[in-house]
Amino acid sequence: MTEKELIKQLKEAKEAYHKKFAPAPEEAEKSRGYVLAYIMAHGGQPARKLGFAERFNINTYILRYLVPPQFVYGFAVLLLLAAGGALAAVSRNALPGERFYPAKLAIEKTQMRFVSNPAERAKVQMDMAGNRLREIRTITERSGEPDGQVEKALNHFVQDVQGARNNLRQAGDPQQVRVAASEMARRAVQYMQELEQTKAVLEQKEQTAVPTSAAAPISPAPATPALITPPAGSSVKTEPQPTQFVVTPVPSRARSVGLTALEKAEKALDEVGEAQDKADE
Amino acid sequence: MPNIHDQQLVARVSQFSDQEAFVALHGQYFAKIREFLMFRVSQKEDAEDIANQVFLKAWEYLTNASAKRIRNFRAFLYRVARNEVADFYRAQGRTPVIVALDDFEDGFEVADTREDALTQQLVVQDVDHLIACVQKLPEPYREVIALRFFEELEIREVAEIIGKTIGNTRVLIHRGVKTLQKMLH
Repeated sequence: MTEKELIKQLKEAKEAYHKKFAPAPEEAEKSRGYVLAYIMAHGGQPARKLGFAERFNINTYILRYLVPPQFVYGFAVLLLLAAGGALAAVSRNALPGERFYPAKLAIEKTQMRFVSNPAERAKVQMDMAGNRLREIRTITERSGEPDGQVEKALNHFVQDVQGARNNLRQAGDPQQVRVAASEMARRAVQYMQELEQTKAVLEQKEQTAVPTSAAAPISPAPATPALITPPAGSSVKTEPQPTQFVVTPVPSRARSVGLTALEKAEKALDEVGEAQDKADE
Repeated sequence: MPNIHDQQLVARVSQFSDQEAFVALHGQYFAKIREFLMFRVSQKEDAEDIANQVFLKAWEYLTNASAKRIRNFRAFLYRVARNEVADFYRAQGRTPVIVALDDFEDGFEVADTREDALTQQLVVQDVDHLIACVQKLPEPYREVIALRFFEELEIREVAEIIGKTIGNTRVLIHRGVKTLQKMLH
């Protein structure tokens, strides 16, 4: 008889096994009475209807033992990944001043931390500076007041460019430094052109917005003295003059600060160019 | 896979000392445990007493707040039954014959030579004969063969009951079948 045939016979023998060793029904009943008497004497409680909290307890008790811990950990990791993915998707198009903008910056920083080579990290950070420029373009293309958003984005841009330059300084391999510096300089030229366009748009907006600025203070015009003062007791009545208002133009603070930040950004890009020169030397 | 219905009953017993839930568990498993014990000790009265002890021990364990929680009640009951059988033999001053597993690599030797002669003549004509042969297997094999093929437990459950790894349990079952095969030839 082969092993397989024997296993088959063993499986078939289970009926005979149960028949041979099965207890009589009265034996089960006797045991039941014995066990019940024992448990009643040892703290057994009659069954009762369970409340919501008790049912909840029982279900969590069962769930804890039905779901393997590995599955729970795996599910938690998946949940975290999904939440991270959702946050990345939602914050991808966020602009400075918006709710998800800090999350966008945090995700970019995390991505950058995964790059161990300083030369590569410099290039990645330069790419991120490009993202800031795209944000500025989106803001300036929108109609209405940027409310300091351009300034914030420009500040981040400057930080990214300076950070990229610092990373480049940390790089040790001269070959890698040369390649990265050349790539960064090429981007710096592109960014410079984009900054020029942004500057032009901002200046144009400033010129067109000043005469009708809603932010300008409105004050009543000084009262003009009456040319003919009627004598006392005269019956001539003068028509009441309507109060005149004049608009005082003031320069937009947001735009002027934005323009200052632009200069800082240009300076930062110049420094990148200098870094390339040094690398070439 | 743990049984949800069992888990609900176990939870009611352990959290509220619910006697009806425990009686339900008794009704569900008494016959199985009693069969297994009958297979192990052969005497009806002994099997009955040990079966009662198994359920009393289970009650004590479930209602003990500091006890470790049970994931598989069926495997837990078989484990208690196995320990009770060991205690029973210890109290009787005799133990089931334990044979080192490595001794079975080259062939099986039965301690009783009269039985050996009889065994060699055995031809499996009916299942009763097969069960009798399984009962003559050395202790470690007899137990795993009964749990796996007669009680239809999963290998994981058998491993949990005998306190070995799944791999070791698989090897034990395989060797048990091989030994049985040699006995039957």
